[in-house]
Amino acid sequence: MGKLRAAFYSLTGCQGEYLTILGMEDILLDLLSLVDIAEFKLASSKEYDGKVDIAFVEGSVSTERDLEYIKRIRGNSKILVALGDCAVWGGTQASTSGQDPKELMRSVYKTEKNLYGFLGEHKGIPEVVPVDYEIQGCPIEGKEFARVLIDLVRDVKPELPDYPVCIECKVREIPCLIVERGLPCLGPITVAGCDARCPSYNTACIGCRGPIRDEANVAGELEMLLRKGYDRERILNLMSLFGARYKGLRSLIEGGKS
Amino acid sequence: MREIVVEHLARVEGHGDIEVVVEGDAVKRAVLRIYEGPRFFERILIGKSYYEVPDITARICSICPDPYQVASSRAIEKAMGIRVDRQVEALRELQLISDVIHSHALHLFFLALPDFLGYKDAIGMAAQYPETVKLALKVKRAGNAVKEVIAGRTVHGVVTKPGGYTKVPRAEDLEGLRKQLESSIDGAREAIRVFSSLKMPEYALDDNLYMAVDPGEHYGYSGDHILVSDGTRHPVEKYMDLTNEVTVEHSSAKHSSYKGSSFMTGALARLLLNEKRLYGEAKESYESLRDKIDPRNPFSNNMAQAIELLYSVQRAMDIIDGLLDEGIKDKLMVEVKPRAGEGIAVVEAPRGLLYHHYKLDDNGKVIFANLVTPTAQNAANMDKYLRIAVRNLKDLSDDELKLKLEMLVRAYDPCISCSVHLTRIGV
Amino acid sequence: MRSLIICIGNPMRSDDGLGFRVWEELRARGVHAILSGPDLPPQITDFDRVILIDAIDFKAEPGSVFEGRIEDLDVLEARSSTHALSPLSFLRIIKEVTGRPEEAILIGVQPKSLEEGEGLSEEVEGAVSEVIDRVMRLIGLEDEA
Repeated sequence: MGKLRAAFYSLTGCQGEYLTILGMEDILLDLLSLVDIAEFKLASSKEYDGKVDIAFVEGSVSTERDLEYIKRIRGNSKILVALGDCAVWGGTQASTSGQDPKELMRSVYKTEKNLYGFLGEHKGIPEVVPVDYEIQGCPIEGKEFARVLIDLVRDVKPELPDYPVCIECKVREIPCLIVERGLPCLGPITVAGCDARCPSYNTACIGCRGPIRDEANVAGELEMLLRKGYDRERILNLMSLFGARYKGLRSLIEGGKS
Repeated sequence: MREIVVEHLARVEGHGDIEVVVEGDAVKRAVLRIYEGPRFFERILIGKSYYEVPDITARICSICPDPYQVASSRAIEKAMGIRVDRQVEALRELQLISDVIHSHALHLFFLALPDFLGYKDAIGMAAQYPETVKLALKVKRAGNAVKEVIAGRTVHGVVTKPGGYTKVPRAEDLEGLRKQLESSIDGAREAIRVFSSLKMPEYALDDNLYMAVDPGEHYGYSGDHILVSDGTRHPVEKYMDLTNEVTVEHSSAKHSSYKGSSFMTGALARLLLNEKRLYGEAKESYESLRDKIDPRNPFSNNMAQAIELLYSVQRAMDIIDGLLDEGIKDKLMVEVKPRAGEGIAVVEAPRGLLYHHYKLDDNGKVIFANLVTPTAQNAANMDKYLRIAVRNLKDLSDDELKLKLEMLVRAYDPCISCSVHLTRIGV
Repeated sequence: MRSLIICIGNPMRSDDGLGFRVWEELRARGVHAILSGPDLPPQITDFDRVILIDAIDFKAEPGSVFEGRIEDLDVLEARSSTHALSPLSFLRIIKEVTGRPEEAILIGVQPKSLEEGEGLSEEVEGAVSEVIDRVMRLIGLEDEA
């Protein structure tokens, strides 16, 4: 049986997912040997404009070019995997959602002309085309990616976590940062997979892996942190850094405006 | 009229095209057109708490998040009048160095070298040059290992904050890093061996202007003054006079200039301006290979990175030795009482000078942010040399010309996501 | 220590049949081993030690035997082609990602030919008993012969 054909594409983002993959030096060549890589622009000048079995895509849908590109990629791939917070939730840039795009352009580029084809909002890929798998993270966990790749190559459905970082804190016996130290930790609404890295290093979770799809209780988290004395704006800002497009959060932010 | 476009440049970070238009003998246009989507980071920063700033700015770049985190922390500390421990400063220099090691190894071996050896990528290269690729992975790995211990993660560290570090590295972890660095030195030597054995192209030569941080006694990546190759030295507070950014239509990155001229920042600039501060084997290597560094040739940036790679591995070991001798303190974070203020800091990212400028309100929230990134500063310089290259290579076929122009852009090791950056907004 | 012996190979491709041959020999001695394709069985992480047996191109003399921990191996072992998935790659990745098995050892034999056809070459046939000896030593059983 021949290898599956895979390609690695990028929309708008910092390319942190691919840097993370390339950062797994000890198994990098093994990983890349599992598939027949048709295109991976960061690492190779090979070009390919045809059908692939697996398309990995990082980055948010932010420009007309991104939109056209992701539609073409979806049409050309059997399996589409959204990699990273930008691809799944629009990324940190999505925290500008709701702001006037002309004003955004004016403030940065001193012109209202849409010079770079900005769509007006930064979106996650699932908002524009159907996605088969979402690997969350900012950046993704290399090991999670490796596990998913192996599963896909074996035609096994990848299992991804759907529970909060809190579970990982409990397993590691880290005393709860919110309860014990009153820190503004977003663990309760953030999807696990990082092994509670930040709490283990003495700092609150900033939610970089993104909210747990359909299950993040952002209203509950807001209440909890308000009770700890944080102001509403600070908390909503924090939650918007990596989860701005989460529908529960949008309604909290809009609700607060009235 | 002849129009040549290299679409979606490969083996660089970010999205850009090279566009060339030649009419008869005249080069009408030769530019790096950056179409990386604008992410409006300055809007994201406004209104955010000082504590989150290093985490936010890290997301601007995945190859060099560490300089962003260090520069953010330092600028905010300046704004709030906070002094950090000497150990924290040493760890920050170590964090910057770890990024240089990882980034230069990635660029030299995986992004640039394939062109010189005739391959589309390092995987293709690996079959013919297995030893080189193994050594490259080893030294890149060492840089990443240091990042994991000091910054908490290789891409977007988690413990670097204004006030210090939330994590204290253990002595045994530092000892492990030192061993790993030592066993990876051959990778750095390999970079020097390989690049000194190659003939660097000479199709774009011209006098150039260079800028780099004044690192003080030893060659390094932090400081508060900028050296310019016209012989001048400037405090970081004057950074706007050194950069003068303007929006250009063909690029979502803004262009910089100094006294009307484009300039280059990065490894070549650092080496030319700070060569006297090198020491050890890197200094010897540099001295014996001086003729390979041509200040009129941007391709010399590759050789300069190789020298820096060797220096950085050794410097990292020396810094670790110093920390182990002293004994790591058990707390690396000072208490931060938010207050209003303004602060400007500069660090050397692997690709060059990175400036961070913030104003904070009484609650420590950001009311103004301006960041000037190295690739944005180099953008105008890249265009200048692209023009020279096209003039000299007009007679080549489209395919040959494209490859040569790509190699020229790659020599700058551009980080396009960074270059599409921010400008001054707010108060 | 719970060990799993995995024999890799295709007996229809000359010396690639080494794994199959070793598997038969081990079975005859009452030693349990499994036959596997490149895509290793999921239960390998249940074991403390995995011993992989395969024909591997080390650019050595045909019939030479190599034994080593997979972490120490040259990552550029030439068996990975554009068509074939490498069980060694799988094992390295699984071990890196899960931390299991604790010990992963490769016993490899340099093939003379991997062309289509049945039967091992003389050189590789001659290496079979050494491979068996090494396996037995690893799992702590003396060779009866």
